[in-house]
Amino acid sequence: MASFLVRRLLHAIAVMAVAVTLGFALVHLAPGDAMTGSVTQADRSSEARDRLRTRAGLDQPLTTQYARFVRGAMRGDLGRSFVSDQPVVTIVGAALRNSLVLSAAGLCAAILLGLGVGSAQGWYPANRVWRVLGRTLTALYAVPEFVLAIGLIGLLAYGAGLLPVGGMSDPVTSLLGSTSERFVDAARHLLLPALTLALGWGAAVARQQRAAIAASAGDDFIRTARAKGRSERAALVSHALPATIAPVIAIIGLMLPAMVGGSFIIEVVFAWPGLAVAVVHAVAQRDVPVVSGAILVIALLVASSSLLIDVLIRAADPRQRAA
Amino acid sequence: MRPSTYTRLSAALVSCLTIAACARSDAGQESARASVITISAAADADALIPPLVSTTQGKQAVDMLFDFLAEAKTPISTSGDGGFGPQLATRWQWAADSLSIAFSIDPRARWHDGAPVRASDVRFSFALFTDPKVASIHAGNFVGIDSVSVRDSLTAVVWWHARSPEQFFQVAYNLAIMPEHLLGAVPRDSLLRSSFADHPVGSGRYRFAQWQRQHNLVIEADTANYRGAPSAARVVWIVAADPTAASLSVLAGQADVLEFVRGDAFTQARKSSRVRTVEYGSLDYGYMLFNYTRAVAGTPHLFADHALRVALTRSIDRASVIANALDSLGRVALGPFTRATDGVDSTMREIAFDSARAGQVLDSLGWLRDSKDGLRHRNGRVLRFSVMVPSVSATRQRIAVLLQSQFKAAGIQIDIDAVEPHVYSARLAKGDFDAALNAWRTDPSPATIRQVWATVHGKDVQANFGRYSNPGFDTVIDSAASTFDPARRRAYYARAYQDIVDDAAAIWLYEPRNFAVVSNRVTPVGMRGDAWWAALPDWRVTEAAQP
Repeated sequence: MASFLVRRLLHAIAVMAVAVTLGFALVHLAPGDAMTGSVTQADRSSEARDRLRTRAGLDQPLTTQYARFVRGAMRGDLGRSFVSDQPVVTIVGAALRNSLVLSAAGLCAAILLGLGVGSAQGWYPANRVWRVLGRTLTALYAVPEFVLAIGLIGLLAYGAGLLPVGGMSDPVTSLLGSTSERFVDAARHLLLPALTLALGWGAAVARQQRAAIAASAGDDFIRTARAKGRSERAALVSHALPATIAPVIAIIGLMLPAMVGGSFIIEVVFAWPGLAVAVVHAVAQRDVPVVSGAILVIALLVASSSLLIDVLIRAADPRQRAA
Repeated sequence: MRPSTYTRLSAALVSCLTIAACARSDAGQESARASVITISAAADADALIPPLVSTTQGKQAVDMLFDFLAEAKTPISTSGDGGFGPQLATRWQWAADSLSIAFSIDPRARWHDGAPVRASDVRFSFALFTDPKVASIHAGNFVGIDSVSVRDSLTAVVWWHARSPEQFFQVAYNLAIMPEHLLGAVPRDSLLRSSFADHPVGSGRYRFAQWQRQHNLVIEADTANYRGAPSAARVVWIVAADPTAASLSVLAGQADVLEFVRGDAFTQARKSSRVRTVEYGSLDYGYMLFNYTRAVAGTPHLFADHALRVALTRSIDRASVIANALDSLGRVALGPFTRATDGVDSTMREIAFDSARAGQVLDSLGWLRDSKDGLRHRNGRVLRFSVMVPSVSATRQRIAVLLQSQFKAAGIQIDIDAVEPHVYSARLAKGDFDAALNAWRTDPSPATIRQVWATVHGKDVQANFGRYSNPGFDTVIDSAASTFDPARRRAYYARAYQDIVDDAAAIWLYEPRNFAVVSNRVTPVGMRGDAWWAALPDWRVTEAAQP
């Protein structure tokens, strides 16, 4: 196990180094920079623009800038935004927290939905209700995220008026509301974007789980459990589910980049101030420190989460432990 | 399968959470919300310190938080002081030689922290805007002002190097007054790192309340303000980058104002009983910009040929292009100004669509049609150029396609070059384009037309990206900008406008019509083309939406 961990750790560090270096180079190689690229900068004198470039260190060679970034990152200092002059750690931290809240809610709902529907559909293949639910999920999976999001907004927010159209919270409630009011308000704002994510991710989990449960339904250990007098529910929950969970964990692992990096479409449509939106804005503004910092944080989280997933799969699957 | 106790409990918990999530706000919050104006904004404010603001959203907020020496009236007039009323200054006195104006600060004016506003704050604000360390994009607005001195604690004197018709406008419209006692000690090159950047203190009728970056910005009424409390208790900007979601938020009643609406959202708003559309003046125009320094189609400085430019303009049925691209939400542009620009005569002479005449001129210039490909050739080269378009502008991309088709009918090939906005700006600044579909927002001051169209000397092209040069236009526009007599000034501007239109400096394409979507519970007043939000403190809000 120790050598496995060391191997995976080295792999994760290499992935991070490549991702950060590529990100840094690509943003720098794109035409224009934060001080010269936007039309409004035409209002600023060329002397003022040059002064800002010098202040930001953009007049130095790319290798020097990269070395400075790496040295800072080692100390936990990712620099300051060229646009807002805020510390990158603050910007990326706030956006990452928002993305993680949304992703975690979406993922929990997706797992509940996917495991529940997929398991039931695989265990009771003749049940019409589960079959219809499973097919509905698959159909929703085929709908583009953007269309699904706008459809849900139209149905539940604009049409029924039950939920807010977008944002993380109502500004007036966050300013004047009590703790419980703010909690309810946050839940209301989270529901629609999390549901949109859950419908997509849940379908992927359900498809995998249905196939795995159906395949294991005739296995010896299930027959043994039934022979011992265990109920159908107990056979499903206590025996079939644990044996089929490893591939689901692997699928969740595949979703990690989207979870950590945020879903750009969902964040834009629901005006959710997450990491994906922050990175896209930063790229558009050539805000190099924010882009580089965000890539570093995303790479770090994806690499460490992948490591965790590998460990979980080994722990969950006795065959892998034995190997 | 019978549900177990665990399943029933889980279902009950999920139901409770869902009901809580779908529950509406309580009566107290509904009441607080009744006196709030919520604006759906396409982007967040970039800064809340006036010299560092470069976005419209930032400008909207700082205009509410900070005062100016005088208040522009609607419609805005930039010549002399007739178009202004008192704001932070209760009165002003011109020196006999007009080289200085003494502003008397309202003794009742207080910063939101309770400190009195002083004349020294005016001097400090001017210093901040013009300090090279601050590198404000607004520093150019103060060219010609020598200094600001303090005569006594309530009298600030602004000094100019030379008289000009717009000197009052220059200082009254552009100089937001900031508190020296809070910003004076902050290093000029790190203003955004100060606590003031996150909690600005002004003297406006609204005070700062909350800023959750990339999410929302809240300001609240300064109820004890010396100019009187504003009508709405709070103004909230919510960031909604997606246009569909932004318009839905207003149609669903979760926002009250969407500053600009296009396409289907306009139709939906027109049909809605909850909102209405309100038109306000536009200072924007779109045009095909030529690069005068570029060798195109094998010809050095191709677009420097006046006859060719006129022929290109005559080849385009602009009315049909704009009708197809913008329907009723746009008009054919008259020139590098809009119908809302002070003194513009909308009946001025234009270069009309005339494909036959255009063809004759192109023939006479040696650009002859080839029967094989239908295109015009000269010395073995096709009359062909690329037109750069920002990829994010659906309107300009649509116009580019329509132009492509009309130019093709005239035997001219254009290649559409859609590029990312930053690349677009960088290539404009470097002069790396043949032609571009550009859009420009004019300033209320007609004199600022020089930034875009006056001859460039030296390295700084300002916004004259194509390096257009017309000495006749330069002379007339300089005369217009320096003439005090309103009638003569107006005549000079009219002549300059006609001159640049006759010269076909660009193909003037469209002038968008600005429509805001406004909730029926809000009654807007004084929406100006340069700042629709200018009179926001006086917008009335009623409790219930009017049907």
